[in-house]
Amino acid sequence: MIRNVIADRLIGHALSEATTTALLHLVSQDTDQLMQHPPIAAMFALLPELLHGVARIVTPFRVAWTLMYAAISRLDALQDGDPMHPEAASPSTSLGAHYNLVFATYVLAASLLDELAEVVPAARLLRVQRLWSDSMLRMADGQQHDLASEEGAYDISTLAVYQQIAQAKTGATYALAFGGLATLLTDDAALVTAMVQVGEIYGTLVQYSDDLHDARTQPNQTVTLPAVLRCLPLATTHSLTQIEAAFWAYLLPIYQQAAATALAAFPELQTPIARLFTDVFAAPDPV
Amino acid sequence: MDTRSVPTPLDSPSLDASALAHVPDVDEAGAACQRPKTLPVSSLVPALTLIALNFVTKEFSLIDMVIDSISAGGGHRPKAQ
Repeated sequence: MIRNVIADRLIGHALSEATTTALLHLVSQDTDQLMQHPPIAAMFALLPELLHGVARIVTPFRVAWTLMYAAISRLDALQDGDPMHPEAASPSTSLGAHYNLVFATYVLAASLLDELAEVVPAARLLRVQRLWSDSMLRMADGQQHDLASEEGAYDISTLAVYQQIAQAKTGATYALAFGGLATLLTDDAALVTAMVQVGEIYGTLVQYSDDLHDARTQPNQTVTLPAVLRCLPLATTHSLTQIEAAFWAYLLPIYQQAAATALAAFPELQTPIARLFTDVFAAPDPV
Repeated sequence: MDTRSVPTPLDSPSLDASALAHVPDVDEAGAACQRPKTLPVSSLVPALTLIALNFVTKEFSLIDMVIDSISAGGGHRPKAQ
């Protein structure tokens, strides 16, 4: 789906065939993976239904957001020096060219919002574009803090720094997904604000969850949740894996309750959103 | 990129004061599209530090509860991606 949308968007441009091919090659695999990533797939399955969204509005936004997510994920990997997916970029692509393709991917993503001008009122589209820019600025701020953070003597106070980074990077990005869709589909400012808040809680959980799964396999760790949990003053003989599971079981209902609080004025949304959190974040996984 | 010799838009003769005088007024539809506001940053995300401090005080019962739950077929870890 995304590859076709991008190909359509590039029709008529004077881009060289080499650039177009490299761009499509870069994004198609990344976006295919992202579309199946459980937090993203579940989110885009539920939100249009909850907000009564029609495909001609939801699809362009979903494609734009997913393409943006692919761009910032790849940017993050480049900045961290992580190994790339072997099939996602040509081995002959230089680092500079790779960065340039990521830049082009981001511009392409943002430009896809233009497609919505024909199907939503201009005022809503302007608000979405503002929310997009604000969210990306927060994401860049979080990334800046993340890149500047140093591995070392963590203590419990590091959790506040870790949360600030997670909330700014991933929280803001998912706040854009939830809030952007709401902005496109309603003029109810209270609903938009609530959805932005729920998205931020959801996205922050996505970052925690990814860290709990991936931290041990990341070659260049910055601040991660497991690293900070190791520094808790726990007088226990349990393994770190068991502590992580217990901490997650303790934390998840608190975050779910925060999402329910954000939706206090919209009780009809509380149950489906709570189920989304449970489906995505509380699935069985052996300790 | 060296931009010293590149003319800026302000160098363009088409953008002098007389050209700006011909910019049309904002029409009615445009007036509805006022500059959008930045939404306030959410403060509803619970503080991880406080959760961790509460967790530490209850660690034994919580960890045992989770282990018992998983042994019984349940689970609380986020699923593998």
